[in-house]
Amino acid sequence: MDIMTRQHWLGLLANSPATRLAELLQPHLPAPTAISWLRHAQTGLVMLQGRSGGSGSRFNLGEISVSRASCQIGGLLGHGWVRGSDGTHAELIAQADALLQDPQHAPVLQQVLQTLQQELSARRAQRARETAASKVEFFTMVRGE
Amino acid sequence: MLQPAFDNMVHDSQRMFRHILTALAEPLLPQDLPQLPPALPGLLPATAAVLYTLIDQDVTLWAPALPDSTVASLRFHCGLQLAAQAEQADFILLPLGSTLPPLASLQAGSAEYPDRSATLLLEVADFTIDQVEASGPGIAGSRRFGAGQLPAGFWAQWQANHARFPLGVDVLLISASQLAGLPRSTLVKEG
Repeated sequence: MDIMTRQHWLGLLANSPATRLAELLQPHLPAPTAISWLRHAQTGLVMLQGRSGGSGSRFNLGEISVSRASCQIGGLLGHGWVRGSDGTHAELIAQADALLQDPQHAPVLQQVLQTLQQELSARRAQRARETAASKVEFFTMVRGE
Repeated sequence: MLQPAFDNMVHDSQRMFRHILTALAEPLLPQDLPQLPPALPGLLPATAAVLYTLIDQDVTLWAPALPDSTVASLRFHCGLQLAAQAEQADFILLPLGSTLPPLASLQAGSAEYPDRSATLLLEVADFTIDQVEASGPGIAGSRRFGAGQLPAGFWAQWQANHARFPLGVDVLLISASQLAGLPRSTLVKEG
């Protein structure tokens, strides 16, 4: 089992469905009184930028809604940022982020992360299969001249 | 360790902004501030509320020396930017017992843009003593006022600041749970 880095787990938590995250994290979360909320969940807009062809000059693609929350558990600071307007999802990520930095809680939570990683890989593989099944090959008929 | 700010950042800071406007509209009349956020280390509770309301990433603040955790909390909640020198800052924060930088050296705006001036956030002990008589816009007749533990020579410097009107700095006097405004238009007589 490889230990995930903070960057990796924040991405994984944000890409997992909020309901599944709540289900898996519920037994490990501390009492609400042990959490100091520095920033309760808030939703705002973030401008997405793109580059044409991946290497052209930057342009504004559009805005997406993003939710964020920050909390402090026993002196450890956790941040949660997630696409969409689900504030509870951001708060769950923030709590998990703080606990994952705590050597006491990290081992159990790393197992939760492994489960989430497997589910995410399965979803992505499923999606790739569905996409591949609808693939269309275009070719030009060469006239026999 | 970071400190939590207002419970409800949007509504509480709007309410606080209203109190600041009222304080400047009725100079030297202390306003009670309900529901303050937890105090920042080294500052009064009301000062934290004023900073969370007025500071954002577009303005600069100068203060003599703040504890690291206070600077970190302000950076987290409002994107604080510290100015290197008081002369360039938009807001000057003077915690209780600091020495006053010369008011004439602070940003006073220009004839075209008198609003591009500094605002002084000055911590005081209380508003219970009687020091001066003030008059001017927002004061019907005159008003008696006094603030405990003001920096030495403040009222003398204020005369020069008022004389520069429409240029000059504005002051917010902050006690533990009260706020009084002193705009540059206010004429103050000592004694």
